[in-house]
Amino acid sequence: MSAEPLLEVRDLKTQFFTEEGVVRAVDGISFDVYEGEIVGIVGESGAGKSVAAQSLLRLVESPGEIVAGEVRFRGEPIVEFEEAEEGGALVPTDRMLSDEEMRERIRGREIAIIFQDPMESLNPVYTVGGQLSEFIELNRDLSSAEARELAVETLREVGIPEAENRFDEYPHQFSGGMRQRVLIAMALACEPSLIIADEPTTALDVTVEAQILDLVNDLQERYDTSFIWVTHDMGVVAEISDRVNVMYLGEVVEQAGVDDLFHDSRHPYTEALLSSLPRPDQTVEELNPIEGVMPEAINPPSGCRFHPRCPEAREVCARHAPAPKAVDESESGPHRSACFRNDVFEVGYEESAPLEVEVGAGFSVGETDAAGAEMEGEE
Amino acid sequence: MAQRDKEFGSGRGGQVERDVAEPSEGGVEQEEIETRVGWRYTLAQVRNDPTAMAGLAVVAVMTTVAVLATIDGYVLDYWVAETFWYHPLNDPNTVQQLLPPVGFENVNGQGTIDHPLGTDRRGRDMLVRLVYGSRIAMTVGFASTSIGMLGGTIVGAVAGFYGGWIDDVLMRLAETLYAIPFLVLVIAFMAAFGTNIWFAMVGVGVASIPTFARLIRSRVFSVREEAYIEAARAAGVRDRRIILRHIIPNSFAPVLVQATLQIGVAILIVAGLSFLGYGAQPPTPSWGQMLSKSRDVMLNSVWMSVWPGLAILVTVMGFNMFGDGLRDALDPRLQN
Repeated sequence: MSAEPLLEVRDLKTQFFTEEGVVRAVDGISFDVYEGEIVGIVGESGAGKSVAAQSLLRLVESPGEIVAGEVRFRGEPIVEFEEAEEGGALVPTDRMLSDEEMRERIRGREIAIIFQDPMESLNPVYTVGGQLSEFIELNRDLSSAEARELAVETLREVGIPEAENRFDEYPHQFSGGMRQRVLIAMALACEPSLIIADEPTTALDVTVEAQILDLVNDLQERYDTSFIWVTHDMGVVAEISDRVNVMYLGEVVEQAGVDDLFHDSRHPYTEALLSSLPRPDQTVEELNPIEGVMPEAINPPSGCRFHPRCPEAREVCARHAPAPKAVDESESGPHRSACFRNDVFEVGYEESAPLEVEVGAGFSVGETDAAGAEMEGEE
Repeated sequence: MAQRDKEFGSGRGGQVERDVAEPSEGGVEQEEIETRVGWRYTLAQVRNDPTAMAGLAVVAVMTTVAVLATIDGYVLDYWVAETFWYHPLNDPNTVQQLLPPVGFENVNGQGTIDHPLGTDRRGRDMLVRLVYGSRIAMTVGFASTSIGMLGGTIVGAVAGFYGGWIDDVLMRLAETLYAIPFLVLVIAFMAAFGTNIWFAMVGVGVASIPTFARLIRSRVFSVREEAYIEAARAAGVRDRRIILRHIIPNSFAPVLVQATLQIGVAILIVAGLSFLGYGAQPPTPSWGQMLSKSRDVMLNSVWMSVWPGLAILVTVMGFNMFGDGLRDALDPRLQN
């Protein structure tokens, strides 16, 4: 891991200004992506994962707007805000890359994005090869003959059989898995340093998903491209990521290396997510789903946003909002968690009375005991 | 279904044959999807629609006739018409005025096979004038519709793509065009600058811009939300290219239908203008003007009104029938 991160995200906030009010879709997330690393972003639907991914490329459209924070790519400010001289409101700085620079230099060339729906992400009126070589021509300054050659080669690389023949076929003649391969080819062909994959396997069935994940792992090793892998699937994260950010309601609640996250979770939300999944290494009688649904981002709960659903919430959780703090350090970077249960927060979690969680306890007795024992051990 | 697939297959070259050749699970589904997409499918749909085919035949015949007449008129100076037929403009040497169509008889004599549709007041053959009169109708139809389609598509696509104040400004401007009485304006222009058929073409074309703009704008609103548009933007494609290459081709179907219908409308309007004397000037034949000249002799020589009237009717009907068929073929909701 090199010292300088490839992509640095600091306190990024994206909000949607709707008629009902301001939706804080992304509310101050921070993370780094280093060279050659796959970083996962997981969370339920509506956690703000996709908006976060789009914000990184400044693709958020009205009524959405990036309102604060910083995004740096190789030190260049993709998003940067400063306080205005009058009034103190946050305004974008002059140093921030212009729309022109974003389009010419960053999008496609340096950072590519693969979207969720392979069925809809290809233009139905052009051939697959035509679209692929259009993107290549655009981003790599090649002649059309060279672009075509490279396009065929890339199609072959992502595992499209008879790439030469299929080059001139239309998207509707491709299956879902094949189209997702084409989209990956599109992202790869321009040889970006970072690929943002926004739930690229969600629309596919599990066998195809597994093939795609293998393919990405292969390609990642060969090209050493960094990935940001957005998904709601903990299994995919475990399979592919080096480090993981767990998002809940626009915030990153836990950030850790993939092993630490799975074996040493420090946030009740992560624990709840994990215990709601079947795991090959644990046998349980029954899975524990997380009770309730995620609240609307338009009117988030006070204090810790997870407290209404948290089986371990105490009074203090409703009053104060925890920011992610480093709770542990390992070779894969700091393990950050935004939960008062970790003793790095000095807000008196232990003394605070437990909250009645109306949705009921989502945890088995055994695990609650284990969590309690762990806390006692730390005291 | 199988029968139809076979039919489509023949039109699609080797493509479908290969797909059919590799039987897979869900092969039927695959084929169905295959045949429901693309130009060839649309044409196959039109081919199965007798009304649309009749319309297409009329359009094809009229266009061919008009093109040939134009070549003969402008390039060969009516050499073909004069040598093998009658000159459509000049008065003939042997004057046989107001001769009835073949098989009829009036005070001027018996209708002859030489002048199957009769002659006009100066003894010119009606058929040859109808044929050479098609030039004006078709030129005006295509040219004015092209102006409207081009302008409307660009205005509507840009307005729909950007939305917001750009949309407001462009669409309010387009609606302002609705408020301008173009026929009156065209007549005023001709009165001031001399009678010129180009005023009519441009006038009718500009007047149809808002129709096209509204039509494509409504489609662009949904197309711009498609994932492939966002994908193109994420790949660093500039807006102009997104609009031209991705937005417009995907929103074009209703515009094409409207254009077909608009040609008919334009032909009617310009025939009306010619009828009022603001069109092609004598001796150049045009259908509207021929109708106009027939007014005085309408009671005694009915055919003078009937033939140009029929020509206009058939042509406009042809475009409308073809346009309707095209709409049915392009609208997935109308398919069973």
